[in-house]
Amino acid sequence: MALKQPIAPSGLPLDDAELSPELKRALATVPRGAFAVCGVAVALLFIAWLIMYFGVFLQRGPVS
Amino acid sequence: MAGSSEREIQRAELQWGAVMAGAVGVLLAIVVVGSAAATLHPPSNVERVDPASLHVSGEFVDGNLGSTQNLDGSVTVRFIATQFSFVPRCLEVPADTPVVMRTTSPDVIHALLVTGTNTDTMIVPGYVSEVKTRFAAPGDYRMPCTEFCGPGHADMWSVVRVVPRAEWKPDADDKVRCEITNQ
Repeated sequence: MALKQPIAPSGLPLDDAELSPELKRALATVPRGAFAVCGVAVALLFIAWLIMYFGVFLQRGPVS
Repeated sequence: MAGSSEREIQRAELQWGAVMAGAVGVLLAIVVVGSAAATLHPPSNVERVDPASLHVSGEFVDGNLGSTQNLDGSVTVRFIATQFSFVPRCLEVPADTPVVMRTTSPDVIHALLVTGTNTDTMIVPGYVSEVKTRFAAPGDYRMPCTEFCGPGHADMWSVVRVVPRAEWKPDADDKVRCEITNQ
């Protein structure tokens, strides 16, 4: 997957030299933040599913 | 470009993909193992019956409706779903005992759901619907029709009365019937 250069508000490609130090520092760890958000969201969904399956569905008895 | 390289981001995406595949795999495994261990799967019974003669001959004649005990200790409860009532309206079964519910319809498509349980099936004219289940706790469980069957659909419901095993006793004709009071 080809990644494109960041685009400045002017519409021109944003060069490294134009990035502020704070932005460079934030961009250096991009996947970690995404992993944190995705991980928490998926973990909550996973736990909710387990609670529903074991706590509600299985408790309602067998059927076949 | 500043920050993570394209290769690092691709690797991170693949790692996340593996995590998600693992999570989905774990959920599927739980469903498969849980369904097998707890006997949980949609009722499936293909059995034909003549809807025009239900009341005159065969398994669903009036005298054969209600609950009855089988030789293996399980209980079979037979009833008819018709516009706009389940017949009989009260079904009494013992707690913590294998129960086989057998029903059919002489008129239109109905369905049932025993509230608070996983018991749920369609009832189609010409076919016998059979559901095997077990009720753990004594009590009255509402059983409404869950398929719109006509103008009286909302009034079509019955009660599955689950009583302690010791209190469940067939009468002289080996049937158990009950009455609905204070509903």
